[in-house]
Amino acid sequence: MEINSRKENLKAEIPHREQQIEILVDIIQSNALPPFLYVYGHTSTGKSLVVQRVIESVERVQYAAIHCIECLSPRFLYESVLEQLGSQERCDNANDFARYLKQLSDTRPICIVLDKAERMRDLSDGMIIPTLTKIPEFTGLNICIVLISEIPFEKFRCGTGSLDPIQIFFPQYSKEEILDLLMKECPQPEHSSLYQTYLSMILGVFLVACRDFCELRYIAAQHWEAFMEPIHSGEIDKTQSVKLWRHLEPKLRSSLNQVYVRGPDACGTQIGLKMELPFFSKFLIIAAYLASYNPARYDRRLFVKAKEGRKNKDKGLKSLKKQKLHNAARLMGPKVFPIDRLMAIFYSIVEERVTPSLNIFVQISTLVSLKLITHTGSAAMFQGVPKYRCNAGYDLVRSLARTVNFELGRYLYDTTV
Amino acid sequence: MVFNNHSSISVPDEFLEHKNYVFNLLKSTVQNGENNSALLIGPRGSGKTLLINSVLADLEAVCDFEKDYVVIKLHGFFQTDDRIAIQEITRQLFLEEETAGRAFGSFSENLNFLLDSLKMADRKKAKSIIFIMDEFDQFCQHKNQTLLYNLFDVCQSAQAPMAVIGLTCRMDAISLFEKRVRSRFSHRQIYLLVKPDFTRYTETFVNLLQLVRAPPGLKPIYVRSWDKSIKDLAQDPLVEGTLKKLFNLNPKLRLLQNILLVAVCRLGKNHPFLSSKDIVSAIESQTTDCKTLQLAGLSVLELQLLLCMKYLDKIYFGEPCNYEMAFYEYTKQMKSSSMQKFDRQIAMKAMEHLETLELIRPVEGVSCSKVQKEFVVYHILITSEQLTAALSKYPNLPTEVKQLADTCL
Repeated sequence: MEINSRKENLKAEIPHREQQIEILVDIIQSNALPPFLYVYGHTSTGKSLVVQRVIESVERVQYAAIHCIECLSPRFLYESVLEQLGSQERCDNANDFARYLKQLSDTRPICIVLDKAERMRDLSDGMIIPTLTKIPEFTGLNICIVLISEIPFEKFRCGTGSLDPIQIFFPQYSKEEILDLLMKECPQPEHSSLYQTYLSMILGVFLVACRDFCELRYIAAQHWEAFMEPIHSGEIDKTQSVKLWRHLEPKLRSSLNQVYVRGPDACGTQIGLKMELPFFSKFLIIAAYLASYNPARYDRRLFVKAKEGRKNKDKGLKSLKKQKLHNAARLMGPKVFPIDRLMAIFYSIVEERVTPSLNIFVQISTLVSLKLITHTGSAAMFQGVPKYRCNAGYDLVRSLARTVNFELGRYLYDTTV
Repeated sequence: MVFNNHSSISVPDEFLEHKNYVFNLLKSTVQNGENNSALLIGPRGSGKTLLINSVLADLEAVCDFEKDYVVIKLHGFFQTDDRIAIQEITRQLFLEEETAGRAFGSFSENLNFLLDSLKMADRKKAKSIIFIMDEFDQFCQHKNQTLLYNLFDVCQSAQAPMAVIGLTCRMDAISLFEKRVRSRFSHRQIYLLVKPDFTRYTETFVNLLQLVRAPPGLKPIYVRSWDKSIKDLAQDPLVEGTLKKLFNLNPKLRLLQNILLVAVCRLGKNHPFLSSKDIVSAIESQTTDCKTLQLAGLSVLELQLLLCMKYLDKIYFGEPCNYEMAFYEYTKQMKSSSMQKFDRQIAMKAMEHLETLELIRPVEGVSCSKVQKEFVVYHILITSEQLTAALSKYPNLPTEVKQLADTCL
């Protein structure tokens, strides 16, 4: 039977998606297409691939596939759908769209596939999805709208009017399935058993953090060379998997950051070292950080230079720390402070005497435009005391402090006490 | 594969009265040239469009469509403003050529021209026009409600014979009218309210599946035994029980149609008749909680972060929490455990993934550009039941996470 052979072919082509292929083929095969299908599941679980291959395999259906990221306005959507269906009309509203669909020369049933459909929710006041799903009813054509998305359908229910779709869920691949899929892309088929041990090492480290197949494939491709290196040089025999693991593990762990996050390690330090800021600007940032993360009532204790009395009062601070660790500034984020406090802290931490001049204030506004400090309260711009909040993270500020030989730890209330 | 579409659902008995009413309304417009306007109000899926379509079909049988009247169908989703609407009206009246060279000062001029040209066709008696306006409430959003004002104005001042029927699901549709529009409306409202009725629901279940018009190529004996198997299926206690559950959840016929389509898709040469298991699993596949399914596909780290956020949500009585707090909680949990620990960066990436899946949502009003992303506060959009359900199904879940879940939830 033809349908069965089609299903078998697809199943052979796309492994581990048997159930979904089965149901999709049956639905697309039927004479009267359902108006609305909703296909959802995690990233890289084969949603788009399966939908596309299934529709392609059914010849009596024509289709248009759109990526919703490309559609800034409904106009792009309508025109590119029409273009894929062989119509050259310009079109910027749903009414014309429906009309042109009726006028198409090709009268086969139509599937309109919209990938990343969650992007469409904001278009034309959120009315676009209800409108699209009404097209089959409105035009009387045999049309099926297929939405593909990562998020559950309930997130699309805004306002009113959209139909209830037939929902098809693509579950995440299990560990065994991922292993099997990755095995299919073995770079050196002669080492396939070795590749399998390698993959189980990789999955052992990364699967806890990430189950995205594409990410894992990328990571697997990145480390294969490093894994094979000692085998090629003859250092370790390929049967000694424990030794190989010891060789690979530190590399994997250290590369968790670079490879998986795809950024320089510990961003804050890097940027802090690279950023060339004026001397006083650095102190201004530090002062802003201190002002944001220390409670104002401890300023006197932290910044008054006289030594006497400090020891006695430290006890009070200690008990406070015990009391509420959760509310520590680090967790809650930076607090707002007035400019007076910033300047007071600034003068106190800068060793030399600085005259309060316009230069200093200009530097503050430079820092604001660099987004290291943010100005809060736009309404109060020209009245009262301007207020700021520090927007730089701990890592950045610490590395800045190091460049100016400033002991940041001594002035932070949750580390000093 | 067989699936009887809409055709097998007929207008329910309790609406026959309404149907006759609407039918008489339209008939008197067509035959006597009366002007009428009415609103059909009913919840989604109550059969408004079905009713109007069957009325129009009946009308066609009584009156001469070619000579006596024109039907113009407008839809609130498609004619999104008055310019598009008047173009569509022109098109449906086949008057595009007449208007092509003309410039109209105002909307009413345009409409009157259209109405006049209908008159000119036959000087003695003008053709009646029937406007069917689906999603009527959408037309109330148009600027100044010009279209509605003009239509009702023509209707009220009897310039041309026409009927305006609006279909809407909004009970308060009248209050959306501007004053001048409201005063021109006839205030005829017809409420189509369905009483959920389980016996009718099971009847529809049978009707939908039965082969009314047997498609060619099927043996009559198969058709007969199929119909019988469907009747038996409806009696099956398992099917009846799940149908009842479904009915209590959502009595819409559209959902039933979807479910039956999924069930029918499982048929094949080796499996020619529906079994009760097919129906039950189809219902399950269309009604299970999507979020639980999604949670089952998350990584262990992401689940741990969600659990931490849920815990914080609990101890702070629903106050939103930020990434730093969740990560602090996470490190606290991991201190004594032998599990692999992850850095801030990786946890951050996991958190961002949760956000794109919309399992957590940033609190509104805090613009992200002003705050570091570590301190953007989130609300968690998962219930503890969903988390428990997902965790119980998760394969090879580390025992530490299980314990964490027990303390957190």
